[in-house]
Amino acid sequence: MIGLVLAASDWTYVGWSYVVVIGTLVTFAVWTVLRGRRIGRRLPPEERRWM
Amino acid sequence: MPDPAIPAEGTVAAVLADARLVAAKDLRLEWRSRVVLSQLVPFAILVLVLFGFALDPDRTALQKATPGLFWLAVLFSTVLALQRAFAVEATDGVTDALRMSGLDPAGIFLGKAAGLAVHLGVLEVVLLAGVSLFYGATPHGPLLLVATCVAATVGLAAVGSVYGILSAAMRVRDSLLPLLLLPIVAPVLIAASQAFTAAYEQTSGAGWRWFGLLAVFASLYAAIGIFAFEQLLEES
Amino acid sequence: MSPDNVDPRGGRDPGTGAGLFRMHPDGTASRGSRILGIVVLLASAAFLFVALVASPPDDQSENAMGDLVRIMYLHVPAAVACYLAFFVTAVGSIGYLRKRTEGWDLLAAASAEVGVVFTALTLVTGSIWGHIAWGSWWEWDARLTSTLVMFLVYIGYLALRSAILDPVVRAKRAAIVGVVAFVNVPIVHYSVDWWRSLHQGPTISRFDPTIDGLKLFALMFGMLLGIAVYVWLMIHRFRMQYAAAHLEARGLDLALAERRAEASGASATAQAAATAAGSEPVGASTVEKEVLR
Repeated sequence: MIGLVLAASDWTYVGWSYVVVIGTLVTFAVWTVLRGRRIGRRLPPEERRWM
Repeated sequence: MPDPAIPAEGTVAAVLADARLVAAKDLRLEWRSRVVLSQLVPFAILVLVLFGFALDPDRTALQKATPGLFWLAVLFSTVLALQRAFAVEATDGVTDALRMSGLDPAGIFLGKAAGLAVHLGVLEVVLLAGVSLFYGATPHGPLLLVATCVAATVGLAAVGSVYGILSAAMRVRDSLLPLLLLPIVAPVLIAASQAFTAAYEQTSGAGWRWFGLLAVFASLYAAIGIFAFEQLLEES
Repeated sequence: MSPDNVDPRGGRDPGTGAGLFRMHPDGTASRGSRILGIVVLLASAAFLFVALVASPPDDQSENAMGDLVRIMYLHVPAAVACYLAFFVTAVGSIGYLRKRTEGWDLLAAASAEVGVVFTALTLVTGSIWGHIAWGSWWEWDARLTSTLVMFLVYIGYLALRSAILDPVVRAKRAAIVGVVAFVNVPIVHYSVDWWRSLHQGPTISRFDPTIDGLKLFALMFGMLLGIAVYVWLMIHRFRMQYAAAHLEARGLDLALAERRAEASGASATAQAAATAAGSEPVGASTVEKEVLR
């Protein structure tokens, strides 16, 4: 019984770790892409050399 | 025909001569304005008193914390001394004047650092007297104590001068400088506090290892400072 | 003033309805980065399966961590990625000091931003893991503490960057801080290590997981994936920095042109005011606002 409770709490910590890491990285990536578009919109294509 | 009294440009003697000029300028400025003596020293003593209020009137707690509190007081005073030392340069475009002066950047760096080190040395003497008066801390290893002070002061002055000139002439200098400087000098705080603990508790053997770390830190940042000033003061 | 200066879009598709697999005409994506992004997404799904389902819990070693070992598959890759990021920042800083070209500075800046995010993740996962291992959210563990100091140092680096407007001054000063910050990493590490070894008895147990088989595979997979995510983020942030830097330079030109137009006629002023008030984010006034922000 105690083992089960401990295991459940282990999974809670594991779950939160994955949620935090993935959530942060996805948020950062989306923010980067959107901000890149916002800035890129005002720049003529010939200045964006990766196109 | 070069004047034999002026050392040839780029030699060690020329750099040291430049350093002496800059340091003498800063010390003369301090002697005339007495900002460090009239403001920084009282501030450092005030910090010691406030630590006493924050912890306990009980002397055992204060004695135990003496090394850390001492160096924390030195670090806070360093930030203030730096803001003072480089505010002097930022106003009236003295940085540009230094750049145009033809002084060696390494000399300017060593001069600024030496001036700062003298200020910090005075502060440390006052603080040492303060901790033995207020906290009743009596050192057992005076040699280690002095050696630690010298090494830590040189390290603080070197890294402080680098960050002082980096944040000079910026509007947000006052808040940015502590943020940049304090994490970098965390090793100085650790090493100097540990060496002081050893000196106060008469276990000097372990303390010399920390002194070694301080010496490495000081020489490393002295080298970095020379490099950084050459990069910053060159024509851009 | 040519019409192109007024409408920097140059008649491009406004990009409405750009989906995941279609590159946005204004964005920082290219074909290569898009392919890398899709590969990273697929690999992430596979990684989650390996890390959370396929790999066994750690129950062989003496201080078995059980399912908690799965936090390590995130913590270690994040730490690897943040050290890599700060190494790249140092390389970019040295490159700038040697060559004085914009690219090195932008590389250092982009890498520091990504590195700070990975450092934060390293700290959070380390703290969550420590909550079980040590019973408290924070212990003055040598590695965690030196990572925290490093985090603060690079926060300072980014603060310095955002505080200087002149791009050349900013690049030069940031490059020096970038070098100093990286030199400082081993010093902090050793001093904190020594400091802890003095005070820390063997009472604080470190879990010592046996990492082998699928667990080792999950860890290695995580590290590769972490580096791939770092590379993808770097590509986009570098291009974003590049675009921002060029917009800044352009914005100054536009602002100057606008001042001249203002001087030559009142109609130009009215037009500029109308553009600034309008919702369409084109026109010199908006650009200028972005520069000053």
